Amino acid sequence: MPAMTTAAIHDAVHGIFQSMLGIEPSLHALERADRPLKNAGIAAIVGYAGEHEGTVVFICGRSVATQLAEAMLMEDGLDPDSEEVDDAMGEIANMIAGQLKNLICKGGNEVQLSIPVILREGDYRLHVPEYYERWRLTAFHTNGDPFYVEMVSREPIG
Amino acid sequence: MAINILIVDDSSTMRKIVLRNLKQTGLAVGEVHQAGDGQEALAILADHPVGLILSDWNMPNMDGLGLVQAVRGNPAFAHIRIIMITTEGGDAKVSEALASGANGYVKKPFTAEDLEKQLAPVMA
Repeated sequence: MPAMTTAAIHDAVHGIFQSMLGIEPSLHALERADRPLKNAGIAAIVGYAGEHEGTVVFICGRSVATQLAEAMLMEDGLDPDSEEVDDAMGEIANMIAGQLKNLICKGGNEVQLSIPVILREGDYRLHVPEYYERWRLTAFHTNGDPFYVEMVSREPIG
Repeated sequence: MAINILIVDDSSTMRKIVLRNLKQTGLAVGEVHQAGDGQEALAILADHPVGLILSDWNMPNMDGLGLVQAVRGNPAFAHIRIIMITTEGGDAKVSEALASGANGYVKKPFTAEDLEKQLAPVMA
């Protein structure tokens, strides 16, 4: 049975949002995605490599990113284009990737995480080799705004 | 007695969160210093007395393990307590950090209660 099951991924994402942002997101089913999601605002990317390889991408619009950053920092009125918002997005992606890493390797030394890369809007597509799987978790903020977690992995998911 | 703190993380967001949670634990916080990586942290330690380091693992330039090893390699810093706060949650990583001289380990995501549980024995 794959370690990265829907339930395990839901638990990981839910735990991060609940403890670090104080938000109870609505998490939908994990779905296999045939093509990359267009970057609607901000994409925070963390790769992992070693005995397992893959990428985690956290994607959301500018407004949602700002709201999530404000929740993490417990501050209002953040500039949507600020480094603070970028940094918060990177940290969310980092924590999600870290949780997934803990699912697929017990010791910790089998896989190394990259430092987050932040991309704002722009025409990027994350292309992957044929033998990788791309899965997408669609989630909603309590106000109904969506955000997405994309996982690209050689390991089976779901 | 208030304790001078050094928070080390390449994420400014996480440094703020760590400080916020640290204050919620009730620990008497003195001067607070922040660094974006291990090298910056060592530069701060050279000039400022610190009693507690809260450090991430994965950082550019010098990572958290490198910082722990550098601090423990200097007898002048023997009194400094070090707690790792990191996404690295594997058993091997935890063992490696503690064997290198870290006094405690908190896995991200975390709450103030998680931090307090690690602080209590370390600061006793």
